[in-house]
Amino acid sequence: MPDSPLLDVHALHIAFPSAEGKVRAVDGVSFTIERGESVCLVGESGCGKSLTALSLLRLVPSPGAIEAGSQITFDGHDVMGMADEPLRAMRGHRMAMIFQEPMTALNPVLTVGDQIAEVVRVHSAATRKEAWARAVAMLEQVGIADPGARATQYPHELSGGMRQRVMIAMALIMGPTLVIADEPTTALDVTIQAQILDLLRAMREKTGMALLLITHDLGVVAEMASRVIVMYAGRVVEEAPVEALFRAPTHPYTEGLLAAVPRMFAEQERLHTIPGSVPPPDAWPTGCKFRDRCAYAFDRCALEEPALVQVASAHRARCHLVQEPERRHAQGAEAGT
Amino acid sequence: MPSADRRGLHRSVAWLGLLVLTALAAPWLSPHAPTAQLDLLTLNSRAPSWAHPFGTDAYSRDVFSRVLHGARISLFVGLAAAALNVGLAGVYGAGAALAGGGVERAMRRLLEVGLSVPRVLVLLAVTAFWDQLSVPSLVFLLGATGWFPVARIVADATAALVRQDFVVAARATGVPALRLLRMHLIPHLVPLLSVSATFEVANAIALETGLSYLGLGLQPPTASWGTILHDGASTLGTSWWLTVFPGLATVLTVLACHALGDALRDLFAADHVATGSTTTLLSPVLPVPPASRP
Repeated sequence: MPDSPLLDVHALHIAFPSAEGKVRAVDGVSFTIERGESVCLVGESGCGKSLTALSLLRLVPSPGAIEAGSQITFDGHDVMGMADEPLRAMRGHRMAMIFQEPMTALNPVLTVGDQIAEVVRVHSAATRKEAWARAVAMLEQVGIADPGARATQYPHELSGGMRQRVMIAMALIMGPTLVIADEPTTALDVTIQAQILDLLRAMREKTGMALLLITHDLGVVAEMASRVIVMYAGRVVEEAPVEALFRAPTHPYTEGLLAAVPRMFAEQERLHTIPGSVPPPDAWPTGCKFRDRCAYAFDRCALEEPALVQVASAHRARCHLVQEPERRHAQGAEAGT
Repeated sequence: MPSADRRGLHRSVAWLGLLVLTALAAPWLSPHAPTAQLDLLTLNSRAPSWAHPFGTDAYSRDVFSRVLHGARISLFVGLAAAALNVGLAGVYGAGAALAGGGVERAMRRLLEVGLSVPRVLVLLAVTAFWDQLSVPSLVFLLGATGWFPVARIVADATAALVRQDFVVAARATGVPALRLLRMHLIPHLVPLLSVSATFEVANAIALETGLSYLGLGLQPPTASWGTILHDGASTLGTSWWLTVFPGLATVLTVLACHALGDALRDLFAADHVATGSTTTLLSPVLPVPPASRP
C-alpha cells in the first residue's frame, strides 16, 4: 500500500495510575507521518511529547500504559497488537530512536563500538567482527574522525557532540524507515547543536528515512521540518505545514510560542512569555485546556473543549476562534489599548 | 584517591590473603593433626610454648594446629554461605524487579516476611533440633537465612536500573531480554553484589563461630574456631589460650572482611565519580565520598 502513510497514530491515550484513579498524560493524539517526511512535534515540557515518542516503540515507562483503543500503525503493521519478538525486531531496525541525553543513554561500561555493533548483532546474523567493522564504518559516516580508535573508547571519554553522533550512528546503522529524535540537541551547546542538526538533515537526504523530531525550539523547527504538530497538555492543538504555521499561527498557544522567540532587530524590550506553565495532568481545566493561559479566552472555552478543525488545507487547530475569528481581533484590540 | 584511603584495603587484603594461604596449606603448616591427642597425661592444658605456640587443650591437642585447620572451615563456611546468599538475593531481587506489577509486589511482601524474622532466632531454633550438623548443611542454613536484606537492595537497584536511559535506549534498539540482562544490567549490579558478599562472608563466619561456640553448630572433634572456643569456655580462668587465639582469629577476620567491603565500596564510588557511570542508583550501598581536593 504505497498510499498509506508510514506511521498512523490514531486516538493515542496514555494513562498513569494515581491516587484518584487514572491520569491521562496523552489524551487522544492522532497524526500521520509519510514516507521520507520530516515532522516536528513541538510543545513545552510536560505536554506529553516524549511519552508520545516512547509509545511508538511501546516503551512507555511503567506504571504508565497505552490505553486500549489507541491505534499505532507502522508500515502496515499494527504496533499495538504486535507480539514481543516482532516488536523487538522492529525496534532499532525499522523504527529507531535518538535520545535527548547521550551521556545517560549510552551504557557507561561498554565501549561505544560495542554498543553500535550490538545493534547489528541483535538484528542480523553478522559475526562479531563484521558487526564491529560496520560500527566503525558508521562512526565514520556520522563524522567521527579516527573512527577505529574512537570505537574502542567509553562514553565518558567522548565529548557531548561526539556522544550524540554515536547515538545517531546506533539509530541509523540498520537503515530504519523512521527515526524518532527526542530533543537530540537540547543537551548540547549551540555550535554543536547546529552540527548535529546538519548531520541529521544530511543523513535524512541520503537514506530517505522519515524523521519525527521532538523539540521545544522553534528555530530547530524552521530548519528541519516540513510539517509541525503542536501539542499542549496531552493533546494536539495545531497541525500545519511549517510555512503556514510560521505565517499564520492559529491556536493562541502557537501564537504565544512564536512570539516568545527572540528576534534580532525587533523593537521590544522584554521577551514575550506565555503566562503560567502547563498544568499537571490531574489539574487540567474543563473545556479548553489552554484557557487559563489564553488572552482570548471567553465563556465558551470553559464550557466545551474545541475540536481539531480545519483552518486551511493540511492546517488544523483546536480552538473556538477558528469559528469565531472576530473575537481574536476584538480581544487583540482591547489588549492593545 | 589519597593513599590513606587505600590503607584499609591493603591491610584487609593482606590479612585475608595470608588467611587463605594458611587455610589452604594447613595440612602442611600445622605440626600435628588437629584431632590428635598427643599425650593425655603429660601434655594436657599446657600454656603456649615453643613446641606448642598456642598451647594445648584438655585433651592434649595442639591448639595451633586446631586454629589453622579451623581457618579452613571458617573461610569455607563464610565464602560458600556468602556465595549462596548473594546468588539467591541476586536472582530473587532482580527477578522481582524485572517481573514488575503484581508479581513484584507479591515477591516484595514475601521478602518483608523473611526480613521480619530474626535470623539468629531461626538458626538457633533449627540447629537445636539437629544432632550432627555437617558443614554443607550449616552452609545451606546460613546461606538460606541471610539473603533477604541483600535481595531487597538488589530489587531496588534493579528497579532503578531498568528506568535508566541507557537501558531504555538498549531496549529501543531491540536488544533481547537475556542479552539486556547480561550486557546492560548485571555489570551494573556487580559492585553492589560484591560489596554485599564481603559483608556476608563476615556475617557467616561470625554466625558459624557463635553457633559452634554455643554447641549448636559444628560438633567436636571437628576443629573450627567456634568449637575451640566452646572447648575453652569452661576453663577460661585457667587456660586462657584456648579462647584468646581462636577469638582473635575470628575478630580479625570479621574486621578484615568489613574493611574490605568498605574499601571496595569507596573504590566503586570513586570509579563512579571518575567515569560518570550511572551506578549512583546504588547510593544506599555505594555512597559517593566527599570530593577529594586537588
